[in-house]
Amino acid sequence: MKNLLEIQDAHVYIGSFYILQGISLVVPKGEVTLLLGRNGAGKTTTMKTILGIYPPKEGKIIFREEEITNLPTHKIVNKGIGYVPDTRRIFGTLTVEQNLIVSRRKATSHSEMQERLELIFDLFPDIRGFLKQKAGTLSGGQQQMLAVARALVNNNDLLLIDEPTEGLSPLLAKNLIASLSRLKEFATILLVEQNFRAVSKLGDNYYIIDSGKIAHEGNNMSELIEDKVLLAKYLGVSI
Amino acid sequence: MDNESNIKGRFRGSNRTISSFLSNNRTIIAAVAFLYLLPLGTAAATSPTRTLLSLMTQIMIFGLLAMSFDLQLGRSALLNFGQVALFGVGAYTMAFTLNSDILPPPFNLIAAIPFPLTIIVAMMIGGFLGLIMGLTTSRLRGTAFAFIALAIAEFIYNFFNENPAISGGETGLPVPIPGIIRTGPFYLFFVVIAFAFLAAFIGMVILYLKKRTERIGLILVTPVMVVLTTVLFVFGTNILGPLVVIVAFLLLILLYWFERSESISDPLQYSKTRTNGSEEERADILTDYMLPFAIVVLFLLGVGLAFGSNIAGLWALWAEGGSIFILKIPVQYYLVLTCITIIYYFTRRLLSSPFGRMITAVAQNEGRAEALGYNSYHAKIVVLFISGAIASLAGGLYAQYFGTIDPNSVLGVDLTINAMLYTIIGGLGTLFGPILGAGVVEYSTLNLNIIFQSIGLNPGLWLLGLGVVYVFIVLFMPHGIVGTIGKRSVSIKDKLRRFKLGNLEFGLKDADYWILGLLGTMGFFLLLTEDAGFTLIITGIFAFLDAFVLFVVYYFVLSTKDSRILLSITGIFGVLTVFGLLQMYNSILLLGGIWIPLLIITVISGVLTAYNLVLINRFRKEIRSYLAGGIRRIFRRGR
Amino acid sequence: MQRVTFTIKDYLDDNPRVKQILKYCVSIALIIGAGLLVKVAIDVYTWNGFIIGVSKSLVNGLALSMLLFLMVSGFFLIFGLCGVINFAHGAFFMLGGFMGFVIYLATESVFLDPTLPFFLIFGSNHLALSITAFIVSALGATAVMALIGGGIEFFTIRRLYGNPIAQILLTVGFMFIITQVAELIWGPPQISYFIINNSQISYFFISGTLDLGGGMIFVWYRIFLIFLGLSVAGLMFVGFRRTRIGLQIQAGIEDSEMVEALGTNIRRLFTIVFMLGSGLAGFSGAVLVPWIGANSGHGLTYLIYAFVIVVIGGAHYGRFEGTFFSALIVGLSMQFASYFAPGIKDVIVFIIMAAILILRPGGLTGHGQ
Repeated sequence: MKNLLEIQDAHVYIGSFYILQGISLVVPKGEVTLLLGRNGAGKTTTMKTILGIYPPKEGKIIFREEEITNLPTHKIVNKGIGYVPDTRRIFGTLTVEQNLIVSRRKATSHSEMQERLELIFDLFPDIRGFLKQKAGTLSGGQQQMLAVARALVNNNDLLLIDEPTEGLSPLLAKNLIASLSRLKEFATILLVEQNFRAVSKLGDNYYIIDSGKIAHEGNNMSELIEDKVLLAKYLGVSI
Repeated sequence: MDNESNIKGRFRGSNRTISSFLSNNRTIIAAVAFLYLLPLGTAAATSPTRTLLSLMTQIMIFGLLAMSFDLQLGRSALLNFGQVALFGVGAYTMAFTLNSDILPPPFNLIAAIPFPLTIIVAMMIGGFLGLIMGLTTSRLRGTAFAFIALAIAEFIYNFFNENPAISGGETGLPVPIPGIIRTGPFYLFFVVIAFAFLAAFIGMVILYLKKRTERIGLILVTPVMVVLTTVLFVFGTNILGPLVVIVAFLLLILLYWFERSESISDPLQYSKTRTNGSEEERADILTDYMLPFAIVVLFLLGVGLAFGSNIAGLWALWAEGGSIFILKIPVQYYLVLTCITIIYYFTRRLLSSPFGRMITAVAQNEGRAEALGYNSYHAKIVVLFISGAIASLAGGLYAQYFGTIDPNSVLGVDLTINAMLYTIIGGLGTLFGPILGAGVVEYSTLNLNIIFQSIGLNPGLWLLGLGVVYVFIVLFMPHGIVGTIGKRSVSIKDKLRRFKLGNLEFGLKDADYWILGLLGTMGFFLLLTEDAGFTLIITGIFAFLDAFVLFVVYYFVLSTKDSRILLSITGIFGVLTVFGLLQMYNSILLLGGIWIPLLIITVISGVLTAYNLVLINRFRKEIRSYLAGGIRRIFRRGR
Repeated sequence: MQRVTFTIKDYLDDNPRVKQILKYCVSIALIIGAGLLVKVAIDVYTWNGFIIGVSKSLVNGLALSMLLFLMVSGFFLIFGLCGVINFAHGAFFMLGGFMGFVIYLATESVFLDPTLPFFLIFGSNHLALSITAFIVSALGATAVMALIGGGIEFFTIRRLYGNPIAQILLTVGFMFIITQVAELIWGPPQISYFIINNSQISYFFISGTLDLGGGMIFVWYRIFLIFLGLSVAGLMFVGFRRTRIGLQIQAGIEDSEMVEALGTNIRRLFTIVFMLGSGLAGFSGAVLVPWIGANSGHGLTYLIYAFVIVVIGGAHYGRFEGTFFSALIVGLSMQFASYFAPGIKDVIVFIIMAAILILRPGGLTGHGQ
């Protein structure tokens, strides 16, 4: 089993809007795959399609050699997928601890969760300090840590991380990405990011989405960074 | 010369606006003309039409309420749970303006306003209450509005409930019947309106026939003529009336032949205005002015003759100062009918105007509409004002019609729920649906209560059944009766457009459906009249119509020709048998004597049905597979 | 002592909303108090009657508020998590009352039947019998209503998520049906059923009054209701803080899609919440029967109270605390008004609601939009 996740020619409509126009991609096991693209290109929709929130009208999604295309979201997630949404979406009225408790799935036993918590505290030592605090009162960086931690409570094979550095100061973003790079040891990651320079060291493969289609793919990040024409065309980076 | 042509042109222009008005509103005019014709049959003595009229009045009042509810929910997505407040305010305003003893001195001055104007006062007050409700929507969107409106309604209800001095309390507040309702001239005023509508109707038929010069035009109009004459014959008191109407119809056919020969003999010169020859000019005058005028006059004369003694009888009764309640029912029916016609027409106009489209846009997607530059708040407030006025009008009519009001009957939340039931059952967002829904629910309630009681069941069971039907409609038929028929009818219309019988092409157009609408309305109401004498003729007419419909249905639904024809014929004879039996039953009960020919017809139809049923056996397999397919389709749709 | 006040202050600092709510409560209390003082100034010599009135309406108001809170919290949960305005909630409450009534009498007759073994246990110990029957009736009504509510959600409302207006129309239909059923079986709203009048032994375990002398007479049952309501509310509070499902419901009220993306079957959670909500309505209906009786007209009346309380507490993204305080406001103001200003007793809640909505369009804890 080389590819943990595979999307085969997915066509997705939201209402009457044709958002994904035939996306195909593979996420190899144990590697970090980057999904790059401009705003509105369809990155977040791809994530939600994998999660079954917007099921594709055509095409297949295969996770661990098992088709998950039309399963309900909770069943897909229970197969071992963790999701870190783009606007964090932590539960503000609950405490940090309660946020983590809510995230525990049935398959994860209490003792297992304790182990995972140790891992989380190891990655984000700050969390231990505000465990009893209301999540809504945290700062943006802390909330992002919590959002990532929430995906780590369960033993997930695949993590879908959507724009983790959005709205964070450069220093915080750097720290977060350092933590993410340590995550590579534990799980396969599909990472959506606009700020591709920040994550360029992290990625093994990359896909560039433009208006609902895969515009470019490759597995050499350093080449991508050199390719100014490509960057200017799809990522809006001026030369 | 120049001047003359100018005058002529102007005359033609005004002529054209009237004719375009007539041709654009065929169905409404036809249905309303018939509804206006109906009460002319009430004689000074008791007649069964009265029961129907008072039921109809009630239905139209609730229909108005439901229509205003639909205007909010169906057209602008405002779920108003305080609808009843608008209704109740109208009812109480009407009560206060009719009785000067209720309100304390400075306020009882509104009782000085004469009656028909008080309707407008009630509408204004309802509109302002709607406006107040609308002001709260600026901050509260969607579902929260339901809360607030309900709270406002409850506030008003409690206010009236706790002040029995002005609300009448448990015993109710008596509302005097406005004096003008009982006067002869007021009745005559409505009779004149009725004749005006009949003139408009016949004018519309003339215009229709002048355009529809294919053979189908006459074929379609004939049943209308037959049914109208029958109605006059059955309901009228003078045999001369129907005869004159028949003459008018003969002239109509003559006019049709003139137009037809003209359009066939001279297909290239379609436009008559270009020709200068004196002969054509004469034909022009004949077909454009003389014949139509003669038809209209003769028709109105016929109607007048048929119902003259009824009208004169009612007038004489008033002149003698006789029983005052005889006039009440037809006049109130006319009053409510006039109100609902005006409101319906203007609401329809409003909704098809740019403003109406803006309202729909706001309802569908408020954010997008605002992004396009529409002011959704403004639109909602206007809708609430209008529908508040309509609901209040319904309340005012209710108060003067029922004679007593109390807080529970005009301000209780049940009424809102009823309006909701009518709207959903009839069809949300269809405007006509709520009126139909009110009719269906009210009529069934009245009759099923009696039936349930007579077979020893609790009449409350019917309301329970109504609730279940309602839930099913919400779940499986979200467009209600009218909406669903409208959706289905698109494909049926398409089939009818291509319908052919032998070498005669029907080719039904949209413009022809008023005939079906009118016949349907007539049949519906004639079926509802509880006069024993009519049932015979009416069952006959409707047996024929039903058989025809059955024929059409069978013809279209089945796939092979043989089985279609076979099933159609069987259906026709089957229906004829059933109605023959029904008629025999009726005639034995009522008339005696004439049941022998009926027996012969019934036996023949029955034998033919049986024979056809035997033949159907041959096509069993195919019919079964078709039916199975149909059932499967129904279930799939349900899912 | 010092520490206790310290933690309360801490709590208030942590929860600025609660602090604000308290502020509003205090200001409303002050307004009511000022009005009462005026009343007092008018008739000083009825001072004695004033004390009686205050204490009585306090007891009645607290008892009513607690039970209103239980009912409304069901309504609030359903609205918060599933986004469904459950118009059938009042009908659930009303039917719960009838269920409690019927189950109580049935249990009583079973216990009194000398051929059954229960007779040996209770014998003529009417107190134990009545208490057991009461518990059985309350739990039975809860269970029946939970099943009905869950069934309605599972079979019908589930089809219509994402179409709020159709959902409302549907729940109105169920309200209509339940009301009709109740009227068919138990007659129109003019008839109220009380346990003690229909009991075979004309006995109910809490009857009678607490007489403190000087006209200070309190009905024992209402005092009992305060404690019952408080303890159930407390249990619920703890349940929501401590259990996983409680936390999931709370999280779902904030963002149900995210809860689903974390692996919870949100549809099942919706059904559970519907069961919980209607169960709570049934419970409060059953428990209130000895006081207000079972009556087929209660459905609509209490539905409107539920609306008012939820709007005051904060309908959109509001919180439990808001609902609790607004239930207190409504219950107390209704009872106070019925003693001191009977003319406005039915209107006062709407006046309060209007006032709060003008001050804070979103209610005590919700957002305005």
